[in-house]
Amino acid sequence: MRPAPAGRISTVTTMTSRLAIGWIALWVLAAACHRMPDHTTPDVAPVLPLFGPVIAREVVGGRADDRLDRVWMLAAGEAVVRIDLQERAATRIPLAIPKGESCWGLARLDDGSLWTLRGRSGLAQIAADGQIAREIALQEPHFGLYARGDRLLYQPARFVPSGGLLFAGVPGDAHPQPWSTIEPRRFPALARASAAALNMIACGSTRTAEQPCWFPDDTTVALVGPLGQTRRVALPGLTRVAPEVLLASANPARPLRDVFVEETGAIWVLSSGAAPPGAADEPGGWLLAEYTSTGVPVRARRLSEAVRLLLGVDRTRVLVLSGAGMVAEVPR
Amino acid sequence: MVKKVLFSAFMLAGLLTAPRPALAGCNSDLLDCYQRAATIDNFWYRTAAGLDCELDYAGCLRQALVGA
Repeated sequence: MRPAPAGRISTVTTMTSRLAIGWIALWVLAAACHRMPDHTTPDVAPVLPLFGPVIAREVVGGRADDRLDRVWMLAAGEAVVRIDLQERAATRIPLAIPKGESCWGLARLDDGSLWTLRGRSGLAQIAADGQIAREIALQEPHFGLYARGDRLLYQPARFVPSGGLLFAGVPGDAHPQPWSTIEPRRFPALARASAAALNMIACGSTRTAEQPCWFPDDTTVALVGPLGQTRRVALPGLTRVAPEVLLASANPARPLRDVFVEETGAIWVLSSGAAPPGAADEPGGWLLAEYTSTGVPVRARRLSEAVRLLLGVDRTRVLVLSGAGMVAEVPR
Repeated sequence: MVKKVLFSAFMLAGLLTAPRPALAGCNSDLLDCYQRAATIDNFWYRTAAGLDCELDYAGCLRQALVGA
């Protein structure tokens, strides 16, 4: 074998070193790319239990508050759980309804009265001891019930959308007036009952004059003023869920699980997010996000455990109902 | 060979069309309800029973879509 010429050896050496430099550069680049998610992944916010558990693994079908320290939840359609955040105490009050019957929705008017939907078409006032103080037959079945000042907000169960989605009226008013400009959406590819379910509205708590309401698959929140004026605020960074996916799961990933509007107008969002690997199978969301009143993202954090509801926000913390049923706080 | 392919296709179709465990309850309740409604002779009562089934179904979905 003939030895290679010196020039050729030099060329090969140069190419080899260039290749090595190239590979190192690629490796550094790949490592940098690999690290990038660390910067984009939300911080982890601790969920620190305060007291409880105040509720078991049962569906919360309604929530109301006095805009201060007291929160009421409808548990499993058969009991009201009253939480005093200041006193750190909770009381469970079974509803005086026959076994097998259930209620949905919880609305608290300015006069302090609590209302719920009994069955499909009954409006019931709940007394402090759980008795049904007053019952009014509604003219059609209803999906939802909320409150706004001295008026109840009704969502009738309509498979053929007509007019608005929400109607406001005092208890007993036979002709509630359309409230907000939230319109039903059309889902031509879906059966009408599924479409009606996707048009179900959820409304959260507020400390301002604007009430947050949203659709289960949407990443936009409607903020409705006292006279029904509605502004839609898109909330970037949340993952919209396809309606078909939403309908195919018992605990579907929802972009907006709960929304709370602070006194400053800041919008706090509890989103399903992504559960960490190996997390316990608890109901609730894993992402807590804060937005300005116009929807500009301020901060998003992954929660150390699942959270079901946002109960309150003050200058130092966000009060939540954890997946385990505890009242807990998340430091701001 | 053909039998195996057909059997596999049949099993795959079964897996794809089977309701997912999550909302299988709502879907199967709806089907059962429709079947019961379909046995009603009177057209109007049958239609009303069908509407009842849909309301029940929507109420079932409500827990997952709106409940906390």
